[in-house]
Amino acid sequence: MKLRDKLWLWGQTPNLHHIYNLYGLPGVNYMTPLEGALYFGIPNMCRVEIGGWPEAPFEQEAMVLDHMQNVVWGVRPNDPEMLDAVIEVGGDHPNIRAAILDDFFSDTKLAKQPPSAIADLREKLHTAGKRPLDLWSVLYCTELYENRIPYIKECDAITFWTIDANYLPDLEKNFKKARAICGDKPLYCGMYMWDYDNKRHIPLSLMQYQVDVLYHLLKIGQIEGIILCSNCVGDIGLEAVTFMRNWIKTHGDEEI
Amino acid sequence: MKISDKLWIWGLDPGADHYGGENALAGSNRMTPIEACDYFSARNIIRVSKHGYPKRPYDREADRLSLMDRVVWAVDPEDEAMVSDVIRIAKYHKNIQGILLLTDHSHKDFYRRGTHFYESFRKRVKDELGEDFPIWIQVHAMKVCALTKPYTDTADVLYLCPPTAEECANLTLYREILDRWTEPGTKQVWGCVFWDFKNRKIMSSYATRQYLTTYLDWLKKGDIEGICLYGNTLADTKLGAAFEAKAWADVYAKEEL
Repeated sequence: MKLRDKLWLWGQTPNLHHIYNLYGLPGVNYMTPLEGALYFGIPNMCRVEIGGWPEAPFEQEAMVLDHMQNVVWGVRPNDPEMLDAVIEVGGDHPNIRAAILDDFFSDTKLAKQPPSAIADLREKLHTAGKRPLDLWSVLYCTELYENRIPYIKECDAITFWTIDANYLPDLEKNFKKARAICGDKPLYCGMYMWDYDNKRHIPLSLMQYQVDVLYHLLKIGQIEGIILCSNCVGDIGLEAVTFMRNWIKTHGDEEI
Repeated sequence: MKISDKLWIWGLDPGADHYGGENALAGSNRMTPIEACDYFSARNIIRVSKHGYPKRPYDREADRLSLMDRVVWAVDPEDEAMVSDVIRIAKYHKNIQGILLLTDHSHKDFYRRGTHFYESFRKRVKDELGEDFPIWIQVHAMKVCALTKPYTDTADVLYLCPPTAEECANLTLYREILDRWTEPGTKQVWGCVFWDFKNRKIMSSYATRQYLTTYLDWLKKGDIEGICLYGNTLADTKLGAAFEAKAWADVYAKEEL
């Protein structure tokens, strides 16, 4: 297996990271998720809803991704119609392996539902469709508390993210905490190319540190993959994007 | 060399053929030209403007298309701003390997513009982009005759796309006539459209299979230069012809030529 096979793109509808200028991003974004995957040379995709896009049914979006090795589709908690649409599209596209909850572990969201709700969601994903789908979730480095553990136990895999680049120097320490909280659950690490919380570039020195840490974790089998965020910043001239594209060109074909 | 290296996508902005309901197409279209290339395993795009999109300057779109092996940019040869912008970006994007001159379906443009227009256009492009830079001209297969020869002789590549399902029965005849009335050595790229634009109705899967089977035979014999699938604006709209083309591409695109 090549390192490239462990890389994922966080794929979202173009221009939606720019909307309302929430993150202070420069330029205009046209790159679609698939175009992003081709641009970076990444064979796996997390296709995740943002701002109501893509809309169900998802067939049009899924057919475009048919050549990807693996696809994970975004779901929302408490949205049975969306869940049904994901299960349906997952049944028609064998490369769709799982559904993922984005921004799920905030205190406000957890207050609205007990772990049993996530257990029910997972059970439906496992059994309701033509093929079983796993349940993944996003977990931020600022959410590493023990009250998350009952929810994490109901997921099949966790993706761990550092959205505030001020926390990046503590990535190794935070990853250890994440690993402790997640137990032996498969862990994927997300990687931003823009400091979303602080609306600024991520210095290349921090990008280098970030990718060095994740590369090491991947090689020693501590994580299952690295998820790059995202096509929505892939064509707006960020140095971090060029840096990551070059990094993938250099390391993508290494046997791992 | 694989079949996919000879496969082209007719690439428009998503939704361009649905716009205004002029073609009576159902559903909606979201697939981009690059996405269609990946979907059909094609390596090349003919990028066409419609309803003013993509907007000039084309640098951003050309950057986006840098993922493709070859791009031919279609122009209205009388739109000076468009032509000069395409020539400009072609100097900086090495995968832009042709300019396609669009023409109307009746070929009235040929006769109105006159041969000199085409000769001058050719000279301008060759002067600015080099003698090897190919000029493509769109020709309607059923209307090729002695009268069109002075125009088609100014092309390096002819692009032909029969617009209706019925014409699949006449392909061999069209090629015979075309070969008679064009200069030997002029390359041909044949198009396969997933919607009968002329009659505003579906293109049958049968016709699509007939077109692609014939084209593939010609391609393997070296008689034609490529096959163009039209296109991203139709591929995700549940048309049987598009599914047929996808099934065909899944079987043949990776085959060695």
